[in-house]
Amino acid sequence: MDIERLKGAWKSYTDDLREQGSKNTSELREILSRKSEQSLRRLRKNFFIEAGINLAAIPIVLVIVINQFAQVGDHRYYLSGFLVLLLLAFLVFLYNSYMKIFRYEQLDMPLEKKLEEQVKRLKLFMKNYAVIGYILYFVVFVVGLLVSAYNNLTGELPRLAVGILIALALFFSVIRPLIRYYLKRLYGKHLDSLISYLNELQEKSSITLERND
Amino acid sequence: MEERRQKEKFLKLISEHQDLIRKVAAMYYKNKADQEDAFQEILVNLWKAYPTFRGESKITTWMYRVALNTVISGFRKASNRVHRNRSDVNISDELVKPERENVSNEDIDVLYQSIERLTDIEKAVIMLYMEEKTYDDIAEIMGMTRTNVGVKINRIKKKLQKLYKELANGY
Repeated sequence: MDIERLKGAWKSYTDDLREQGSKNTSELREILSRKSEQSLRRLRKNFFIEAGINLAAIPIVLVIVINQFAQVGDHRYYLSGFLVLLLLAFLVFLYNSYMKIFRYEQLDMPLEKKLEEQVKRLKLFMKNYAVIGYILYFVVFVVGLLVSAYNNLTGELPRLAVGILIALALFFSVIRPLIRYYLKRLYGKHLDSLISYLNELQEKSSITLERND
Repeated sequence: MEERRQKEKFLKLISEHQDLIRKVAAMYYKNKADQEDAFQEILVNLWKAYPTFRGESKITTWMYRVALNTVISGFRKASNRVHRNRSDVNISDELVKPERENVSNEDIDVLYQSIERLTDIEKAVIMLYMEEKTYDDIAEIMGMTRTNVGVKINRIKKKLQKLYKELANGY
């Protein structure tokens, strides 16, 4: 079978598709209004799954800080407010990133440019997500340590140093791999496929070689 | 009022060119439900991108760009796509076959076995080629150079010829 016969087969099949499912303008209008809402809802659903975890953490932070950090007096309220603000800032970052990455914009770009843009944004999002996660972890850990030594900071310095070392060990052995695994699991496959499409479109070196053959 | 007028204009346009969307969906998704889902998603994206269409390129070129961006770069579940490069499954069990009897023939079977062996980028290129698009049009849609398009098409042709030989030998 040559390529011309393949074209014929394609035409035959697509003609058949047209006969089976041509839509009139009112059907198209109905799809448009229903599906527009659905795609935005799906986008928000993805965000809310992640946001839910962070929102659930807010009352936990409040309870822990207010009940357990009595030694710092009224400062515990400022402290809990600060931690909640950090979590909320993380949520704002998540929401903005989701909208930028997954909302359908610049769709009329040539495929290669669109892929480049997607890859760039997704990589940046994953990087920022990880960095913010690391910062949150250290802030919580260090605040916990400082509060526990609140009454005798200088006397507790050796214990604080050990605590920081434990925090670092935990970070490299558990937290960092965990966040990386989580991001890879959620977005890694998508990112890999975007990169492979992009590489395929940009295979300049192999084309040069082929032309020289 | 203006938006309503724009929407009516858009719907009329889509109604005239809806085959294009259906073809893209058929190239990437193997069953009718997934094809319909892809059709709807492309339609929504075309509407979202419509304000940016300034008529600088042909309407079909613009539509192909949006449609291919949706199926290739979108964050969609890829598991329902027409599989490729799988030697461990019986290909004929997974073919996208037309449901009408009058188009069910050997050539169409071969067409789908061919599609299955192509990468997503190759599918886009060969579909545009089969739609009689010029190399310049394909280059504009895909963001490739004209030379790259030519090389890619030749490579796909070779790949298909190899496949036909395999099929003729009963693989």
